[in-house]
Amino acid sequence: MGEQELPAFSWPTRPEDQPSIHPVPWHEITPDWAWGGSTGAGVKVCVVDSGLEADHPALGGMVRGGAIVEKGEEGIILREEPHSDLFGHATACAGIIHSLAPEAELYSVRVLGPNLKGGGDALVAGVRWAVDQKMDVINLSLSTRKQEHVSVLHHLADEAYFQGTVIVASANNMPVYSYPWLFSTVISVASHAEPDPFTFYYNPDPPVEFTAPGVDLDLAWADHSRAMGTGNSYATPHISGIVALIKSKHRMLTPFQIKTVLYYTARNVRDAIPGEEEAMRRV
Amino acid sequence: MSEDSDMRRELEAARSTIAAQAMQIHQLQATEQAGSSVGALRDILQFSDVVGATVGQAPYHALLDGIIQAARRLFDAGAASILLLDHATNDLVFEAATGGGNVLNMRIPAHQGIAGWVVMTGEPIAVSDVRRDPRWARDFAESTGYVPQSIMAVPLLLNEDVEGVLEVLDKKNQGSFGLDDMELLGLFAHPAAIAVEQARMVTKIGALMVDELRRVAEHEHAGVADDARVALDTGSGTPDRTLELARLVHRIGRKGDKPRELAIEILNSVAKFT
Repeated sequence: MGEQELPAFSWPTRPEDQPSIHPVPWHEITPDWAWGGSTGAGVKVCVVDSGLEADHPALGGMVRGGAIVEKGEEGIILREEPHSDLFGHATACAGIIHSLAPEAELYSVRVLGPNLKGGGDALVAGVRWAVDQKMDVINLSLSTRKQEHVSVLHHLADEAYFQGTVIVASANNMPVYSYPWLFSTVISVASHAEPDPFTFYYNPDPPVEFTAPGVDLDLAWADHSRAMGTGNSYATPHISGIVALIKSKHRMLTPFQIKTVLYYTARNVRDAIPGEEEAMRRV
Repeated sequence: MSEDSDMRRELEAARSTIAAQAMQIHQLQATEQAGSSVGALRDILQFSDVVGATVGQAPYHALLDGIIQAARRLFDAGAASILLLDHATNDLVFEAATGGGNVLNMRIPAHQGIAGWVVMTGEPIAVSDVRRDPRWARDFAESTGYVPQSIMAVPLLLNEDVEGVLEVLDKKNQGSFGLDDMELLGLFAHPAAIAVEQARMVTKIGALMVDELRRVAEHEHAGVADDARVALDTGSGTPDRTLELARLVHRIGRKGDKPRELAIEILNSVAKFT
């Protein structure tokens, strides 16, 4: 096969052809560097879930649009239109995101509803829409166990990854395989029981990569109410909110760089990094 | 190894037995469709003995009741229940319940409330102290008359599908359910799901027997009295399944000694499941 027939990404590259890069020394990557002073402004976060209650006070009027997925006679259909929250779960997630990144724009895809029975096809359609809309962050406090959807979800996760959309996905609270949180291209989240919303931990024993607050949280809930809740569902939007802050401040960071920033700013990693004195002593 | 892993191994073994049984039922259904015979009926009968041996010692409802009572006690909860998804109506039906009033066989739409969330997503959830949510109180009050302060619900997972929900309500002396509680309740959900699967297997075998009996009565033994056939086909409203079975066996019995023996054998077998 001649060189001309190869796709562009398979051509040999020369260093002088590469776009310039501006790396940051790892020891400078601190929480303050990562998101200090950021409000999430200019970042679009999509919650794919039970639908956002746009006028809930906890969302601060930041809901900018969305779509609902329904099952019609000819299969799954998606309509861009305002909607409410069927349960309160999506609004709870978005409330957490808004509390961390108050100027981030919120978008909603409702993938639950009568006749959908949580079928993975609705989830796929919702994620498809969010990826097509070039969202900066997609919060998925849901997963599917249907094997038939794994391949298409995998492609979507990869597409998101390469276009710069960060998918933050909840690990299932049951000891079962489900998707997409098990994919390496997404950021997977489980819970810890500490209250500080900015405290998260790196998990050196994947597939769950990070843990964030998920126990006894004061949440926004349906019909302008509030509730207390526990679960990985609510840990996930903490990481989504922090990713929104990071993306707002550092627009050029790719999903893999953002995962690296999360690694360096995780509490347990920061605690394990030797201070200057300790580093000198080791040398 | 730990007791936990022993239990998991046993549950996995039960699950693979069920899978093998499901496969066998499928094959029997195929046999039945291909062309029936008294031999097919005998196969079903023999197979029903095998299934009876695996489930007969733990009657289905007693098993589910045991699970929810144990869960309620373990979590020191005010109530506990198991709801199963009715695929035909998309309702959740209370299959077992303890505490919180008489809700057995009550139905709630599968796209509403906490149980609805769990069955739609396959994810467990723990929520408490839901304030100022009119839907919360209304959903519960309309379905059960019991409005809890806290609830934890986990899915009953069968293969890739969610077939129901196991929930515990109102943890006494504590405001809410924690992550450890959620993990623990998940362990209860596993045997509950297996019990549900086995019960469905028995129901399927019962249906297979009735279908096969009907075939034997109506097609392989020509000359069945028209009045009996009319009675069975039209019935008065929807005939009770047991009555239908009795009618069929009676009609076969009229065909001679051998079919009558078979009919008695079948009735004995059916009796094991009741």
